[in-house]
Amino acid sequence: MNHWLKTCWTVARWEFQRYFKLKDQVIGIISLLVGAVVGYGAIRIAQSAKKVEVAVLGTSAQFELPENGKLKIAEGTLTEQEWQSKVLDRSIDGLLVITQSETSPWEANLTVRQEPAWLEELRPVVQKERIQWQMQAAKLSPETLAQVLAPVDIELVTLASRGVSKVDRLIAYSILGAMLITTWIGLAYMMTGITGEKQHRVTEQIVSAIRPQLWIDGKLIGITGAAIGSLAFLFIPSILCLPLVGWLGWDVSLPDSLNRWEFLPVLLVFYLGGVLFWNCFYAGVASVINDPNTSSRTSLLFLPMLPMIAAGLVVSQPDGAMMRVLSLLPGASSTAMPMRMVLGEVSAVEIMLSLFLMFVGIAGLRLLAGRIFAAGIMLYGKEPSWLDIAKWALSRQGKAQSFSAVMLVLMIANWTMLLPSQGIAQESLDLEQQRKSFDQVWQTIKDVHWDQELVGEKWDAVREELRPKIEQAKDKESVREILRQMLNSLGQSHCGIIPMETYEAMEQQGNQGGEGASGLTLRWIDDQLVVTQVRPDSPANKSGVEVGWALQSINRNEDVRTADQLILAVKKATEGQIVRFETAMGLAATSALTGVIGESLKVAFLDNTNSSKTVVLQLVKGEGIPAKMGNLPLMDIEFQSRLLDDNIGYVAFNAFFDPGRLMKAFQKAVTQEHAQSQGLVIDMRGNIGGMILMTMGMSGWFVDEQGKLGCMKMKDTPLNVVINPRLPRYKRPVAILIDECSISSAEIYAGGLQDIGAARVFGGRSAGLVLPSNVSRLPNQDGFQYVTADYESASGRVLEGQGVLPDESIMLTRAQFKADADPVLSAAKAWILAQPN
Amino acid sequence: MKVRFNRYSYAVALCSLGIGALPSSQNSAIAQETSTATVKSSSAAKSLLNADDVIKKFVSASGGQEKLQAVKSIISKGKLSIPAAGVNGDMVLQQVSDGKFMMSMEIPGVVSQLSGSDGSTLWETSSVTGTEVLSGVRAEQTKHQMTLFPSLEMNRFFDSVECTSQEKFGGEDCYVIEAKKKGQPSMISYFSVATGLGKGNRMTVSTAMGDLKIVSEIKTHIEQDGIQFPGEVESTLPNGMKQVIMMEEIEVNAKIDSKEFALPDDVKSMVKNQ
Repeated sequence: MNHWLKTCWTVARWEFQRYFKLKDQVIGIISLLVGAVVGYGAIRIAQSAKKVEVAVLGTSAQFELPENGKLKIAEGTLTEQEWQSKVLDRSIDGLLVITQSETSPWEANLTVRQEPAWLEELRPVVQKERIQWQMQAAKLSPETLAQVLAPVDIELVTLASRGVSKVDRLIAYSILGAMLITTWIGLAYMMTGITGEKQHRVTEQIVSAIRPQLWIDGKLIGITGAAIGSLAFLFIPSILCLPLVGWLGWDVSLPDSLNRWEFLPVLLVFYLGGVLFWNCFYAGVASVINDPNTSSRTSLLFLPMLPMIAAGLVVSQPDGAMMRVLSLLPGASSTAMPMRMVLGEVSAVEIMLSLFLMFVGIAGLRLLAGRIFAAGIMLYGKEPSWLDIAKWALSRQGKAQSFSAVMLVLMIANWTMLLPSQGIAQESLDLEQQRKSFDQVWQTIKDVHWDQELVGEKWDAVREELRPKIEQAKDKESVREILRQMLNSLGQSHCGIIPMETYEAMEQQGNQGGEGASGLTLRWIDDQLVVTQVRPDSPANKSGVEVGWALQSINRNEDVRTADQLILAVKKATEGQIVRFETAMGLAATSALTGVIGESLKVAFLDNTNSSKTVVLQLVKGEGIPAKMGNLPLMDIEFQSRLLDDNIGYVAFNAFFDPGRLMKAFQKAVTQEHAQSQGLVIDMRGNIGGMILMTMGMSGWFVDEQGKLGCMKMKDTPLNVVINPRLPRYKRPVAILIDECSISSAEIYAGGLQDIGAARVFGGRSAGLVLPSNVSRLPNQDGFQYVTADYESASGRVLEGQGVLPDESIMLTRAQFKADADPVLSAAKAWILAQPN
Repeated sequence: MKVRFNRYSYAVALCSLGIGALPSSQNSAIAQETSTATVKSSSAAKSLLNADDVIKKFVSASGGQEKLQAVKSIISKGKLSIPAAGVNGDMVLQQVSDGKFMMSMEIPGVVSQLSGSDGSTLWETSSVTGTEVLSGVRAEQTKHQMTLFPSLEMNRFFDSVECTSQEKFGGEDCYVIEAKKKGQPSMISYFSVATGLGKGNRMTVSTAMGDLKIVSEIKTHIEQDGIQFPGEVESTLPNGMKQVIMMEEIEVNAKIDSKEFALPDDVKSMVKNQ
């Protein structure tokens, strides 16, 4: 069994077992059987109920009542009033008075308490009596009258090879029913499975381990199997009920349609193919739905019902033109063709053609579903546009197009949000300045954006809608909200407004010596905010904080914020955004433990035995050095280079900024400090990105020839992110570590070197916020970040929205930290040491 | 006397950051300032001047053929900035008449970049992106732009040079000179009808990252030794950002040590390995 089959089988079996629970199925059958027995009992009781008694006056004729009917003629010789009294006191159910004479029309009056349900049973009886009366009035002889009243005896001569019985029709509709039920079950399983998986971090691990197409193949097989299994269990009670049906006197002998050896195998193939076909469809649609409860695309999932229902509607003419078309149409053929085989006449050629088209349809839909799934499964937040979906479907690599995300600005905002309360000063608003700012934002996007369709009429409409709101803005924050609303309509990352106060706060922080640091890094693990790194000699290290501890609360000058409050705030901030919650959470939680140098934080944790521990962390100057770049706020940039055990080099930095310092430090690390190392680990975890230019320069020592990390697709101009070989070449293995907080240039760097085989990537999926951007200042002094290009990695992957998937995905748990303080680094080291010298 | 900047890759790199940068269509913008040489005749409409006449007018407006021909070397110093990105830097360009040049560009804390030629090998090295030896179209374009007076060399670097029309550019009526060469993107230069001076150009600049369409406009001129040089040149990059080069000091026929144009060691090893 080759790898594909083995993996596909593993996935299929897992999916099958996930949905097909034998115990549940048995309980389902028992419930159905109980229901059937109860239903049958109810029918019997209904059949044995008291008969409807009707008195008849005005005719001496004897009514011919149906043998198994409800009606019974009341006996007695009472007057009309007396019968009416009996109707009133419910002794009888009705009084039928017939008026017949040669001079007036034949009439029948029925007196009842309420309109009866048995009226339709009485009507033909009375009708027959009237006909007889009229025939007699016409003086027909008794023989003629008998002939007239006798039913016409039509002798049926069928030329077809076999006849169509009621049982055939029952079978045809059963096929339709079986198909509807199975596809409905498949829909439920596929929807809950895929939309649920989009929100699970384990999805990253799976995608790292197996190709999406392989995953979807296994899923299709497993879910198709589970759906068919569920139907089979529904079918078992029907088989069990057959003796009961026979006992009721119904004919249960096999009709001619089933008495053909080829029928059942062909039926089975159509059935399997039909379920598979529609499950492919469901997989594709479910991949582009975030929340089935709110998505307008959910209605698409009912599409498969249409051809099936159409087949049911036109089946009265099984060989009619419509049915012939449906029996060849993939999707409809799985229902229509078997129905035709039961009720009509189908040639072998038609069956073969239908099967061929169905298999072609399945193959095509499987491929499309795989491509859409590959891109869609890793996306959560804003649903992709139809254009995006079309691009994925047409792409060979299941590319994702750009999506909305929280931008770099969010991180900056997080930092400032968590700085000691700075407060945003209320000031009078210079409206003209705000108008100019609005116009600059709108016009810049209009001029620069690479997707002219996106900034065409729709963008004009956004201006029409939002520009007047500037006039009503009460303060700068209202203006920012309007600008953000405008930018959000693009649905892309790296678009945002940086408040002027952020610049001031960062400047102030820089003037005070930089950021106060606790030495802790936190990440969202096991639904908790878990310490993943404790810097040596940091306040946290000296206070005994260990990796694996879970944050409970932070007391900053008696202002206590619990972890739950922080989590709620981030959840709210990321709602409806493509940015992953864990990305924002990791950044926000780490930032929450920074502040002003000298400040004391009282921080409560759950330690690794889940006991409460509270420590006081007096913040010290962090290892970062403040750096300013263009119109971005001042930032503390950290760089570390050290030698690990086993002579493995380690380099880490938190942003691609301060190139004057970082490029030299990186060059020194690669070409001198670690030149003779066994391998090099470049730690991009928590790196928030920055200058793409630096990714080019930092790649040069790992390649022999000029190449590229990727391509920026600007308006009218594609620009390659080139790598120039740099000397001396570093020839040992390079491992790059990433996590959900590796952003932008960090992703471009990791993804690019991964693509060209210059490095192996370890850790968790990166943030997926990679669009190249620029930051300018607006007339109102706020910063304005805007995208300038789309981006594809060297192999053509679109990283925006999807991020970089590690070659070795490592899912962290709190429990792991007890045994290993850094499982990701350990995996990278193990790989390096396993490489030949 | 002439300022010719050829910071293609730097410009491109900054574009990629979004922190924009300058390309060197400025060079061409500046290049058109001088030309005493013969230029292939124009086949433009009769109402237009031919390319020869446009260039002659330009030479005359720039200071005259005699003064321009007397120039053997130039040292130019200036500032560059990308206002929208808040980036500022300094640049120095040294050129001599035999095609040798050395340009340094420094944006404090961001990048320092050198590029040059010893007359045969063209190279670039950046503190951020490393070292490259230029070749192909990119080398050809750079060679042309780094001659002392690119306009005088148009017939050497292009197959045809024609005055094709007259149109508005930078708010002025301009003669449009189109220079073409097989296998290379054409270069369009604008010369003011009123003054005869260069007004700017449009060109597709070949860079390591790809081809960049850049429009440069000469906003002001400054006079040095009786010659008109571009003072402020504004280039519009593909990402919409504008880059400004403001010349502050131009020294004509300055003494330049030939060691200035020697190839750096890493360039030598790259050439050796090629």
